[in-house]
Amino acid sequence: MKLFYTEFIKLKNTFALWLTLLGALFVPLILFTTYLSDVKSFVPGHGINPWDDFLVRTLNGCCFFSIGFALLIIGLIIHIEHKASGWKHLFTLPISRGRIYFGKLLVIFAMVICFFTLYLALSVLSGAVLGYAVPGLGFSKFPVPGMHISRFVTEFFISILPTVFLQYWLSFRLKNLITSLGIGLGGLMIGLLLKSWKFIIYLPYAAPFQMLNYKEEDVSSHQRLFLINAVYTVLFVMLSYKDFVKRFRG
Amino acid sequence: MIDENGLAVETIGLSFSFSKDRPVIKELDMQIPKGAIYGFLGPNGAGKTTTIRLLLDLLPSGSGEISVFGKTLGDDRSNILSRTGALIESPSLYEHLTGHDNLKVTANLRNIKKDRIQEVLEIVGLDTESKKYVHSYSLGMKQRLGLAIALLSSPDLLILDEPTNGLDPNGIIEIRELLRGLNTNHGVTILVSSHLLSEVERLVSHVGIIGQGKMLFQGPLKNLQQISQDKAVIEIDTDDNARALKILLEDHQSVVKAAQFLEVYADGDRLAQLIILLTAAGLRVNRAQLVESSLEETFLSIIKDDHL
Repeated sequence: MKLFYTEFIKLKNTFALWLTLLGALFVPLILFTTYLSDVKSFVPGHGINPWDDFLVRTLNGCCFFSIGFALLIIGLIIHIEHKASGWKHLFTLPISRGRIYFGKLLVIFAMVICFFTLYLALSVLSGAVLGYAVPGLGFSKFPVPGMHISRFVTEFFISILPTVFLQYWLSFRLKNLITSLGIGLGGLMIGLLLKSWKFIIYLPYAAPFQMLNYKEEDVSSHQRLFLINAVYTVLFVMLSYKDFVKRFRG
Repeated sequence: MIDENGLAVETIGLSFSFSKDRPVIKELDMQIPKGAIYGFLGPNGAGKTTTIRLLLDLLPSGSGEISVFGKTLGDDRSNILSRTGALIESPSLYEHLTGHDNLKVTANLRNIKKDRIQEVLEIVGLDTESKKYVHSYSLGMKQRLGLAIALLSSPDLLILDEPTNGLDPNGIIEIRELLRGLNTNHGVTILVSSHLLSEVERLVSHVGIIGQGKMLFQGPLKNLQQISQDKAVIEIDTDDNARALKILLEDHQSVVKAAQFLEVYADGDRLAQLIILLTAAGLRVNRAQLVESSLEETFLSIIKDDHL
């Protein structure tokens, strides 16, 4: 726990916390202002749940922004160590390398989960406020589809795991932040541009974009993707852990 | 047990290479007695930092043995590292944090009480500057903060790789006094590396000189000083240097003829005897002078490998 807390001390005065807050606020705020500025276009037909359309936009935004956020936050957290020449100091402390590896990873996941929570909470809040402020939009007539959101979050989280582990590995191996981020963003671009190609699911960076326009009935079609992701996750964790513990010298 | 032999650090036949055809450390035997201040000297690229990195488990172990406090790193890594403080090349500092926060990071990771942070800040004289961000620190302050981090665990062994690099003369003196105090008052064994003998000769009790990965000299500083004295030369100029040369050779002196005078390889005690010998033979001695080799010259001659 002390290791986890100590990693957070290192984030003081960095852009990491602002990035989490502002990144999570960005899409909900855009959606909120878009709905407010053009109410007529968003008034649903009779009996239609406005949350469905709202959530497609929200969750698509999550697919784009959260993976970008993950890449940035991983790069930022690891770059703190590179910039301070901190690895050599950490490795001369009486702590196992394994604990250092998982300590940093835990902070990364904490930040990503924090981003998800804030993003989705703010999105739902903006929908609820819209329902209260403009009753015609119909948000207050229907319950918040919590189950739909939690299913999406679970599946999306699984889909980004290989990318997180791969990017973590790249970030501690490549001292230059721009290089590791460039590879990550390049991977995301390819994943997005070739989204419909049948073999794209084998590219870890492409997985988040397979979750665009998420529908619960897609679960079965996503099973193959989850299986590939599970294999990649295990592979990247094992290889990066072994590399960090046995070979990485900082 | 090496510890029982009074050694804090010992390496036996330590070898290491980054690639197969380029060994960096060759059969290095290092012995650092407990309570010593050991000056690890050698030119740039001699293998000092690599040796230190090997001692601290920062590089994969090559061949040979490394023992710290009588234990190998493989046997008791955690205990050894908890008794060791290190500052390797430039200090590892988070410049976006304050000096105090930098210490807090290491204190947390080493399970050290917060009171100790204030203590080490006072030891290195940064107690009034601890709330400032490290990016505003001078080079000397950063070096002192690095030292404070190394001292947090009250180590029995302090390993410092070129700790005075880039410091002004005042900074060098401050660090030297600090280390001397730690050694005298707290019995800390200190390994301090440098490429300049002059920088550490007033501090160290023992010296190890490394060149091209090999240990060229090792022992108490007084042994190096003895070599220096043994390398003294007596310069003699007489009214007939050719005859003086003959007389000195007959007296079994190690003597060579220079352009204007004779050089006799002998210690200073022989100076008076040589003058008496030559004047007794009827020669007029115009000049007789003892020229001692400085410690720095001895050091340079060792690393040029023309001594051993």
